[in-house]
Amino acid sequence: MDDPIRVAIVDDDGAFRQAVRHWFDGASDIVIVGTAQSGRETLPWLHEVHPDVVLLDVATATSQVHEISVLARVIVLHLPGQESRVLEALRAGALGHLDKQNTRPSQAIAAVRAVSRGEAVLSPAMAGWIMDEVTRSRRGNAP
Amino acid sequence: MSPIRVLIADDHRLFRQGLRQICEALGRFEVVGEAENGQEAVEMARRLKPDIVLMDVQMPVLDGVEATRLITADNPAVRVLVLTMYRQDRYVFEAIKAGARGYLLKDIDEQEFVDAVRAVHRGEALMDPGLATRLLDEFRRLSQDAVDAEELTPGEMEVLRLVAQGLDNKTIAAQLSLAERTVTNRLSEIYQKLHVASRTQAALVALRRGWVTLESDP
Repeated sequence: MDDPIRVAIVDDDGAFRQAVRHWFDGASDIVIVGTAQSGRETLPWLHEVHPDVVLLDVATATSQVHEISVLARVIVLHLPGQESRVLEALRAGALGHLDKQNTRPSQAIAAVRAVSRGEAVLSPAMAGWIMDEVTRSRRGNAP
Repeated sequence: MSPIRVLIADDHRLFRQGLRQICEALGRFEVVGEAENGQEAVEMARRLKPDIVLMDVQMPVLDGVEATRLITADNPAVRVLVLTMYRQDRYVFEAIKAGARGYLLKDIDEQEFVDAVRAVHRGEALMDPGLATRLLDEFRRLSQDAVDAEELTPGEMEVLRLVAQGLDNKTIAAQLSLAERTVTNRLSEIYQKLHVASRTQAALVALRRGWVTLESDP
């Protein structure tokens, strides 16, 4: 059998970290290697637990999203209405996003499996946002 | 609520008729027109201003990718949905880059089709993982271009703002208490960074990016 997918959870809300942990109760191919608050120690800690996938609160600074996405594949966790922050995180290197309020365990499991394969995970609404951005920037760059 | 207005572009008559029936009967959409090729689709989209264009990829005269590019450039509010026979259609991503909001396989279930049109009308995009990954790559690449172009120094930005107001180098130099030579140097830096060749183009970029506005200072 393949090695399990190693997942780390970084969010300041302890209760939420536990909830996220339980998303993966039913997935034998996913192992939670640790959970932590975000902060300056996040990066050294991630080096220690070396996850394949990090579930990261979207409030994390963009520069840190970038640093973490060099180490592991990043899925940002966000609330409805934080789309522009998600967009920033995706630009900085995150590969997917999950809505904290409306994610079912099966979706979270599928998302972790997908990004661990290098695939992007975008909701239809977010894909629409990105297309708008792409269209805008292409038009902006036109000669 | 007024019905979703749909334009159908496909070179096969039977397929158009089938689509029209599903749109009208199941979706309660208003089919505003049927185009037999890309050129017709562009013209009809311009004239009829549909909410959604259902676009075949391979059509005579003008293909679906090029038609999508023209339609969305013309009117970004029109949402184009590409219809294709194959999931791996190499034209699909080209169509996405051209402005399409997603694609549907032609063997899709009727109800799924209607739901998909409604989703796109709400502003959503229809993606599979492969397409989403390529879309994200494209998004990052374009963002990078934008960032690269934006690295103007504060001094260059000052000059650019005055250029956008239509001032000549001499006046700009006087306003900023600089040598005219310095203004010329900054301007050539600006051209290079913004990938433009004239002060008019530089001013347009500044306007488009919101660095300057057309309102004159009080």
